[in-house]
Amino acid sequence: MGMSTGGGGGPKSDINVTPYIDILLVLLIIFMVITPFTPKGIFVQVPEKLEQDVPQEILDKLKGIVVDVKEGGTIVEVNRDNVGWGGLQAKLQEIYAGRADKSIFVKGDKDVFYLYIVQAIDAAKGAGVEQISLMTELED
Amino acid sequence: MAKKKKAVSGVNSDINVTPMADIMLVLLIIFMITTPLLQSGITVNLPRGANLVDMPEAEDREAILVGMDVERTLFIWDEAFGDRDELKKQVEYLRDFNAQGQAYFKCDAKVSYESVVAALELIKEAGLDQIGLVIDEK
Repeated sequence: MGMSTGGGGGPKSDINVTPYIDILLVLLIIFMVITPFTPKGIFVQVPEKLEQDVPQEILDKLKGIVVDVKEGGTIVEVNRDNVGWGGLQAKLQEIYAGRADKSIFVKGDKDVFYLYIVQAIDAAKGAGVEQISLMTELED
Repeated sequence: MAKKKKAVSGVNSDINVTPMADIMLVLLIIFMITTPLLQSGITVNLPRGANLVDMPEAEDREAILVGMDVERTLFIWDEAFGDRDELKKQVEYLRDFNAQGQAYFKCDAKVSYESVVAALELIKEAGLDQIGLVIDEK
């Protein structure tokens, strides 16, 4: 009789695992959310290695659209017309709306950060450009 | 007496959570181990863009993933290549085993365009002219 009372109301020997499970569940969710990260990006072409800078006149003849990033990324030109970062996307959209040839050349000064080039590529992609070719300004 | 007995060895209303905890722990360990492995190549501060396409193949271990960190060191996956010719050779070698026909380029945002083009030309010389620039979503 005394023993059974002790057994009934006595201390429980099981560890309380509920908080432990809560922590586990949160960690599990965190890792599950991080994992399915798929890389994203934009495909570009690299034209034949340019031994010298392609003169603007030739590009004009080809009627290619050239985006040029200059002066450390402060100036961005579309066919030598400074449009600025704010006007780039609109300008490209205007050009490519009625254009069958969805290709573009992206040019940049040597010392321009890669992020500005990507910004220009991104704007071109947003304007519906399909083929993006990278060029660099080579100084002789 | 019968009632007392029931109280002592009676039905336990708590759910037995131990097996659940076991399974969760195993899942947790699996995710913890696979997460760093799934990181494609080097960790760099990628530039950001808005008009991106998915590149699930870039995660494929067979993909040719060239990286460049802010110090302009070139990598294939996470293996650094000090010598450019060696990297070119390695890309050429990998190209023969790769059906994708394209390379992926992961580059720090604060690298000069000159270095970027130099790296891309190297890949181009190795016979791959379609290059996927890996970019973070804005």
